[in-house]
Amino acid sequence: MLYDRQTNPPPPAEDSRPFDLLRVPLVGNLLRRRHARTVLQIPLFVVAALMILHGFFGPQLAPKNLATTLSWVHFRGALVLALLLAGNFFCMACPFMLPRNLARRFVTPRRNWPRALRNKWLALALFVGVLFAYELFDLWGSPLWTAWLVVAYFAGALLIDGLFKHASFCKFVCPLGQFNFVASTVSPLEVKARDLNVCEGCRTKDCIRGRRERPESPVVIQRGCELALFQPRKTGNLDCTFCLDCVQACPHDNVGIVSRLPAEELLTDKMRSGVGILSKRRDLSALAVVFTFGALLNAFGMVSPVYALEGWLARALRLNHEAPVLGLVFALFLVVEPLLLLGAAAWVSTRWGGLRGGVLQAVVRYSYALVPMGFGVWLAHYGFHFLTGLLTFIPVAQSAAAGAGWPVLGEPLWRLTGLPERVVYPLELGFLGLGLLGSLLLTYRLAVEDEARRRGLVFATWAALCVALWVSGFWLMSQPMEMRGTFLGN
Amino acid sequence: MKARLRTVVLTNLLLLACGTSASAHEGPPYPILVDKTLGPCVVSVWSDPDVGTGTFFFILDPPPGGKLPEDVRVELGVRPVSGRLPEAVYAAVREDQGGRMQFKALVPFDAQELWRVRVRLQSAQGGGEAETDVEVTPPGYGRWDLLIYLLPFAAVGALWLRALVKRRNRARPSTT
Repeated sequence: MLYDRQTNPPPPAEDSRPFDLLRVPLVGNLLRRRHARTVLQIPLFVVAALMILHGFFGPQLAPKNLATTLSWVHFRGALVLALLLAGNFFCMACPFMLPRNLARRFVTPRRNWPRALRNKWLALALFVGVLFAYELFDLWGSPLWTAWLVVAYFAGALLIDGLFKHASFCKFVCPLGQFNFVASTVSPLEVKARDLNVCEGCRTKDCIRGRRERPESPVVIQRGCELALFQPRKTGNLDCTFCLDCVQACPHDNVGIVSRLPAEELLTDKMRSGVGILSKRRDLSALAVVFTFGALLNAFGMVSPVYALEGWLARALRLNHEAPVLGLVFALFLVVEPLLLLGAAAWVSTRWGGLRGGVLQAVVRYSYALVPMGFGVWLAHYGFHFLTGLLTFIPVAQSAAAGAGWPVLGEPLWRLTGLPERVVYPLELGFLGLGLLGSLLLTYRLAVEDEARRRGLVFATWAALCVALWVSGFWLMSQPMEMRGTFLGN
Repeated sequence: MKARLRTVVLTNLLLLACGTSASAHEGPPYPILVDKTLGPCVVSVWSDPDVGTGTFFFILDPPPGGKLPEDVRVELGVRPVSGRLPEAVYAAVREDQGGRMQFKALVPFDAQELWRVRVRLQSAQGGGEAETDVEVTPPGYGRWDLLIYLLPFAAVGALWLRALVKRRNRARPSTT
């Protein structure tokens, strides 16, 4: 069988062989062990359990509670930084999968995930739902609601994967997973077949089918990819949870975690195993758009002008409840604004730039180029909270231990916070700048590869959109500290 | 090429490392008083003491089994520890958050130095005072800081750009 060498080219010559994390001494050896994922999941599971307990029974002042501090300061920041510097390692260590895996030792799901839901629309709705709930219930300031959210994640994973085969929750439901999938397209590492020649000679396809006791046996002793990513035809990080089942299953030790050029996969428009063709996936395109504009909306939610806008809308429409007003803000920023901006850019590109295909086709194709910009905004926003509150988990953990009648960690060192703002602000600008650069590079290459009649105009149109997004992000990150949402302010 | 890359990375790591020293608080609010009993209230004070305007949050909880009085007033007195200025007193404004009694005070600070902060709480059921010191710090960054901190990003961006262009050129079919 010949595998697509354009989307998944054979390994380069020995002297330019890419970096492979699984070949790094110690780290590689640890990751290749059969229970490596479980070993990574257990500490996060323990932390999640402590967060839930503290969220329910600890102090309800957010900066003194583990649930809010770890969720909204540390977890989110560490997540985006890990995605930037390495890859989707948070999905790899996902604690929600631990009870699910345990349950599957006793319960074997029989149902297949409904065909009508085998796309990202449900997950996209849930992603928007989480962003909405975050603003509506002020989750960053509510340990109780944060704890309930974590419980809901555990319950959701257990229920969905208890009923349906494979990794239905990860692939079609988990909002956090979808965020990680999109963001990891900009990551420098990818789980990938090392040598396609080896795959060509492979007869068992264990990486997708799983390894069995004997070839004809129905008993699987090592599962293959539960997200339907067949290694020889897999391209990029979309839908890959870094579970390393393929690494364990491959009888030829031919799967690695290899380096690649960040974001380049967003230019590839060939058939991908388990994903399909990007330019034909409107659901994935919508996810990329919501990922990008949601980044701005989520950051907008932490500055004062959002309250002025909500107040104005409430007065103008004579609404007394926050939910419909917030719903309008979300509709404005996640539906109307993207429709207008992307629609206008696509219309100019096709009408005057000579880009082939219709407006919708152009929107879908170029929406992926916005992902680096969106990721830059997420990085700047979450990086700000993470870095300025880097050490706050220490006094909160000390306080939690003391509150539980076990003061082994000593008196809370409340003055421990994090990096100074004067260091973090330039980092925010740096993340935004890199995001803009990435999006500009992608739109330029798309315009060139599409061979539009006036490719300069096509590029300029989409570049203007990217710059507009960057200006919005810059304005948000430049708001003075007092205007930014803190646990106490707002 | 590898040597040049290593030099760029090391230089930028060095620049980043140089930027992380901080002598006092700059960042989000941090607590300067935690669970201090003042009259009928258990008070925590969180502060973001920047030169220009400093922000103080007062979170009031009832003592175990008790109830918070509704007529609580909170005042904040500040003066430089050096004695350079007399104490100035500011009233905190009530801004309850999520069902929690909370006050907020905005206080002008004219210089970076150690300031003595006096919290005074009054109500019909009694009141109390507490004092602590805070280091007031500049909110912004120096003239060259921004440029220096952005250098690593510029370097990464340049490498990214170079790699993409190189790969694109390699992918082009040969014309000869």
